[in-house]
Order: sequence, then C-alpha cells, then structure tokens
Amino acid sequence: MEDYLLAIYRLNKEGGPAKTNDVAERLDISPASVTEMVKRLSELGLVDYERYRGATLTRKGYRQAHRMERKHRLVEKFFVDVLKSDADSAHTSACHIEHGLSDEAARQLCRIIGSPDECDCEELCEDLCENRRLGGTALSELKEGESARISHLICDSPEKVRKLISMGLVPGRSVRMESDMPMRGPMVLRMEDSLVALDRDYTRLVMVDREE
Amino acid sequence: MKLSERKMEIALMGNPNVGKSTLFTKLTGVGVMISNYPGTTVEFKEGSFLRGGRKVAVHDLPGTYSLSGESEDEIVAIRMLAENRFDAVVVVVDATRLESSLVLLFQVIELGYPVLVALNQMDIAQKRYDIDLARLEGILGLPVFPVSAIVGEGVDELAQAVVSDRATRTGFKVSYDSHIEEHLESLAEGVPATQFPPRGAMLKLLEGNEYISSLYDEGTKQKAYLAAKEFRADHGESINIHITRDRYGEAGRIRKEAVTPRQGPLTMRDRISDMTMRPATGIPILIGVLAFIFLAIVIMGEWLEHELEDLFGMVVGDVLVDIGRSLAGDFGAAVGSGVTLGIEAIVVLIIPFVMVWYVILALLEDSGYMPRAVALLDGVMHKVGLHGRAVIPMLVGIGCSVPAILATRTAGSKRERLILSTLIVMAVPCGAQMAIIVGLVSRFVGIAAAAGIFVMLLALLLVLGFAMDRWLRREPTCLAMEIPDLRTPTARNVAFKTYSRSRDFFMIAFPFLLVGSVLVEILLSYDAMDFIVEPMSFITVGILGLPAVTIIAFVFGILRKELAVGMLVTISGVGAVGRLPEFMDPVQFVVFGVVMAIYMPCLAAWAVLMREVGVRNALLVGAASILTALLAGGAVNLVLRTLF
Repeated sequence: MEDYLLAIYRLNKEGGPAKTNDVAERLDISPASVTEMVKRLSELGLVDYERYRGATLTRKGYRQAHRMERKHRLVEKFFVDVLKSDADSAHTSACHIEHGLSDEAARQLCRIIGSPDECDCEELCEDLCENRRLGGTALSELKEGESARISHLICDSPEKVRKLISMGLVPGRSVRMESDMPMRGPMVLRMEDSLVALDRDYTRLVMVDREE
Repeated sequence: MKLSERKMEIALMGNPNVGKSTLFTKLTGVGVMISNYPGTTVEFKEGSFLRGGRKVAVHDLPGTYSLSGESEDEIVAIRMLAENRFDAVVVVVDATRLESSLVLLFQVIELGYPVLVALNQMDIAQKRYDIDLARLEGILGLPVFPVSAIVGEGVDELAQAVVSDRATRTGFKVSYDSHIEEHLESLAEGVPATQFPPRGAMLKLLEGNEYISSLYDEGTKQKAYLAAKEFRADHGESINIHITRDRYGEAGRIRKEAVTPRQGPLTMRDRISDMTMRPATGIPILIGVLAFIFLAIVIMGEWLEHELEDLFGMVVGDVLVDIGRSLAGDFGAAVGSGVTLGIEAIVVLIIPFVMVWYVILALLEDSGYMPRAVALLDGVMHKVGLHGRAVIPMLVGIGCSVPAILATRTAGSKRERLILSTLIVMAVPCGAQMAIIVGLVSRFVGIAAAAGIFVMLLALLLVLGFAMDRWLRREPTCLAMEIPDLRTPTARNVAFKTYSRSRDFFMIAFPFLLVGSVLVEILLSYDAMDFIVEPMSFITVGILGLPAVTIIAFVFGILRKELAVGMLVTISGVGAVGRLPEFMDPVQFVVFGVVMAIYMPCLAAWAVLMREVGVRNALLVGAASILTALLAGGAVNLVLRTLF
C-alpha cells in the first residue's frame, strides 16, 4: 500500500494527478489492481480520486508519503555512503527497508550518517530530529523590511549553529531583515539594537515565523 | 606589606567591538605588552596602572560573545580566566547593545568571579535612551560604572573602584528552563569542589565546554552528557541552544526594565547609517569613498611632496655632501650625496603618501565604516575566493605589506590566507609603491596615467583572485559579523594611530635606506654594478624599454621599495627627484611604475610571507610576481609605444 502512496506522491510531484495507468506502469502491476488500491487509499482519506483525472494525495496522505520518501532517501544514502553499495542496489534495498524503518531508527540513522551538506539528508534531519513544522521559513527567504521571530535552528554543522548562538540568533528573538547585499553577499539583520551581517550559509539554517 | 599595597590582577572582558581596547588604553596608558597565547594566534594585551598606592595589572582578554569555548578566542578567554586568580573581572558592556553584552556578563557571574560592570558608549546611548543605572545595579547586584572610553569619561571612577575593591560576587542568577534547573541541581549534588561554583561549572558541562569539563571526573561528565541528551530528546532542541535562549530572554527582560528608548525622529546619523547599508545607496557611497581616498592621496600627497621637497632643500641641502668631503674627499662626498638622496626619497616621497594614507585608514577604522564596506563587498570577494573581511588586510596593505600579511591571520583558513597574501603582495601597492605611482607617474605624466595603473592593479587583483580561487581546493567561507554604529572619529585617536603606524614604518625603513644608500654609492664609485647592467639589459631595454641602469633600482627595490626611488635619482645622475624627467620619458615612467607596483615583495614582506604561508609558497609568489611584472611592463611598453 505504501508503494502505491509513494508512486502517487512522485507522480503528483512530476505534475498533476496520478493517472491509474501511470501508477500501474511505475509499479509494474495491472491497472485493475491499481484502481482497487486507490479506492482503498481514498477510503482511508489518503488520496482524492477523480475518475478520468487521477489520484491526488490529501494533506494526510502527503505527509505520510513525504516521510516515506525521506526514509527511502535516508536508507539509500546510508547504503551508498556507509556501506559503499552502488546506487541501483541501494535503491532496491531502500524500497524494502523503508516500510519497516521506525521513526526512532531513522533518527539514529540520521545521526550515524552525520549531517552532510547535501540537502537530501539535511531536510530529513530537520524533519525527524527537530520536529520541524511543515512550511517553515528560513531567514534567508525574508525580504527587505520583513520581521520575523526565530523558531529554531537547523542541525547542519554544529560549528555554524554555535556561531549563530553566540551572535545572538537564538529561538524566540525577533529579527528584522534590513538589507540584502549584492552578488549573493550577506544579509544585514537587526536584532534589538545590534546590526549583524550574516552569510547565506548561516541564514538558511535559521528557521523563522514571519511577524505582522 | 600592608594589604592595600598588594598587587592586583584584573581582567577586562567584553564582546568584540565594545570599545574594550580603547578602555584598556585609557586605563593603562603606555607600556602595553602584546602577547600571543601559547600555541594560538589569539593575542591579548597586558598593561598596568598605579592608583592609591596599589599596582594593578590589567589583562585584556580576547573579545568574545560567550564563554562556551567554541572558538579559539573563547577557549583562550576561559583558560586565562581559570589560570589567573583575578581579583576582579571588569566586564565591558555596550550600553547601546545591552543584550549581547549581558549574556557574556551572566557567564562571568556564573563562574563566580567578583565583577565590576563598565557600561561603555554612554555618550551615544544617552542620546537614544534613558538608562536607569540604579535599577540596573539593583537587578544585577553589581556596581555599574557609566564610561565613555573614547572620550575618557568615567575611566577615573572605574579605576578608583577597582583599587577600592568594589568588585562584587553577586547573588544574581539567570533562571533557566525548569528542566535545566532540575538537571543543574541533581548534577551539582556531591560534585567535587573546584575553583568554580558548582552551578556555573555544571552549566558549562551541560553546554559541553571542554576545558571546564576536564576539571571533573568521568562520572560527572557522563551524567552531564546524559542529561544533555535527555533534554534534547524531550525538547527537540539541544540544551546549549536552550541555555543561550534563556540568557537572551533574561537579558531582554533586564533591558526592558532598565532602559527606556527615547522616541525621537531618526537622527541624521541613523539615516546615514541606513544609507551605507542599502545596496542602492551603499554602493554609490562606497565608490564615492574610494574615489575620495584616491583623490585625497593624490592631491594631499602631491601638495605635501612639493612642500617637503622645498623644505628639505632648504634645511639639509648639501650639508651631508660637505661633511662627507671633509671626511673622505670625493668618495665621502659621493656617499654623502647618496645618503642625502636616500633621505630625500623617504621624506619627500614616502612621508606624504604613507602618512596621508594612515590618517585615512584611522578615519575608516574609527568611523565604523569599515564593516559596512566589508558587508557590501562580501559578495564580490567570494568570487575571488575570499571573505568580505579580507578588505581590511588589503587596506592595511596600502600602507605596508608586513602588517597586512600578519593581519591575514583573521582570514581563517590556510587557503584564504595564501590567496589574500598573494593579492596583497602583488596587486595591492604598499606605501612606497604608492609613492612611485603617485609621486613619479602622476607628477611627471599625469593623474590619468596613475589612475590607469590603479585600474590595472585592480584588474590584476580580480583576475589573480579568480584564478587562485579556481586553482586551489574550495573551502566555503562565510561571513558572520556585527556591524558597529557609525561614530565621529576623534582627532586624538586618529593622530595617535597615524603616529604609531608611521613610527613603525620609519623604524624599519630608515636603517635599510641609509645602509642601502651608502652601499650603492660604494658600488657605483667602483663601477661594481656594471656587471649586471649590461647582461640584464635585454630585460630593461629589450622588454621594458627602460634605460639599462634602472636594473640597479629594481635590484635595490627588492631590499626595500623606497630604495628604488633614491637609486633611480642616484643612477640617473640628475641630482634631484624633480629633475627625473630629464632621464626618463612619460612612457618609461609608466612602465617603471607598473613593474615596481607588481614585482617582488621587499625583503621584510617576503620574510613575513615565508613565515606565514611557507617557503615553497613564498618562492612561488616571488617568481610569479616577477613574471607578471615583466609581462605587464612589457605589454604596457608595447601598447603605449604603438599608440604614442
């Protein structure tokens, strides 16, 4: 069932509702079985199904699939980085393991792999380790003149997080984005009375909630 | 010995940029010792003052935002705190930015030191806020002294408080999250005694401070580790983030209670400050500032050069030649004139440009404009593999490459330091090179020619930086820097900085110059230099189109660049800087200027370079600089000869 969910998730991402035939092709299963399964998913409230248009994940379905997808990528990464498997076999293994992997185990795996720069795992780490709320905004996405309150920091590199903390970018404080320097330069931020210039490598680690 | 006569040891602590160094200078005056903490590049200063019969040794600890022991600066600060039993710690707090200063203060309090608070920048803060000092003292339980270090206000009272033992161990506590407090309590129970109070030490253990952890046994460390882990699992946030967050929360509350902002219209200063930070206005301002610097150096420098030339002729004239002749005949006269020319070159060419630059540099530093330029230029600097912060060593390099190469230590990674040093040595003209470009080229050929050379050097800087960025393995660099308020520089500070920098410059330059002048006179009078003039003429005459004897100036330029100008006057035989156009035509001046600006760092710079980036890299940089200089000089010669 989870395989169906993932297939629909990926097709949705590629564009629009997932047609029964496309899902069937992807999973190498007869279209008839797909139709049956989609009906069950729809009953569980995981997908919206419209005849002739196809299946779209509901919010609940999306979250479940999203988590699966991340676990899948995490396992894949573990196989490639740590076990040195080739990409194909890593993918096949991931397809099997993803279903049995508990959230706790995924978190541990995340710690073992460390926190590499690639956003695949980082995104996952955020989600699993930091209970990241969906739809959070990074400080780096703020526009000039916008204010926001820091909600949490992303556990990318401990060194950078420490630097951020020591400069006073801690959860709960208000930040106003004063100006964005040219050529992907730093952002100038105001916190209370201090002005701070911070590189994007730092600001993308600071998650905020917009204010006003 | 009476107790009151006992020597005191105190520490100065504070965030970077709070005016700690200024306060230190005001407290201790002259006789400062700058040392490196063993095994690090972190510098700290030591000085002392005498008051009320007590001698007070002041240790200026590195500026830090916290004491969690993450950066080298913080580690040194903690070790110095721990290793010296300070009688008092003066925490320098920025009244205009209370919160981040208070966060550091909390940590000093937690480690159980007797503390005095110096509330600095009061002059600026008073214009914006009403600060309730009594309230602040009441909350913190500490004596607070309003200070304005830059104008020297309140420093006396602070010094008096230090010798009257006013420093206090306060009972003030930051209240942390209840879970953290629980952990602290259970950890502190039965923990072996050290010099630090249990609560403060356990906080440091929870934060993962290595130095303080090392004072405790495995069991305690393990307990702290588990507590931090448990906290993380419960809260989904690491404990050190939460501890810092609580400290900022507390600081924010204190600020709200003790400080009332005055609602007023934006001041002129605020508006200017704002404009320097927005790209749309900031970039034109930056270009304006750079243009102003260029014009100031050229116009002021040339004017000073002219005045000094006349003055020098009047005061010194032929005195040294006559002395030389009376001592050793014609030979003595020759040495005398060599020395005269050498001194003239320094006085007339170097003083104006180097000093004018040092005044400008001090203005840039003291006004707080520098960090703004750094932030604006950071994006561009990334393209050449550097931080925006690299702007500062480069600007220092316009005075002299030696302190500039030393200043690259702040750049962080080895790779950045190599790129930066290379750029400083090859593409940033030092004072002497500046004097050649402005004093010779601009004076005898025109300001456009000098500007042309600067544009060429800027292009070289960009190309070179871009190439090195590609060539060396990439390391990400990122800027995180506080931007201080703009302020009006004081004449005294600017004069003091200019004086001490110029003094260092002349202390190194003068002996070299004198010895060099005597040496070249001796060599010339025995025609000893001829052996390189002819063989090397394929370069000087062939490639560069210069008179063959200029090779002597180039050779001496390796010793020190100032020597080159003196040598040029000597070997040309024209007798004075002002008559050099009889010896070289405009194109030759430009070519000479280009080659001089790029080729081979002087001996002193090279020695420092070798120490800082290694012999192999220094050799490579040297070779590359000679090659580039010849190519650039040859190309300029070719182009200009075809055009004119």
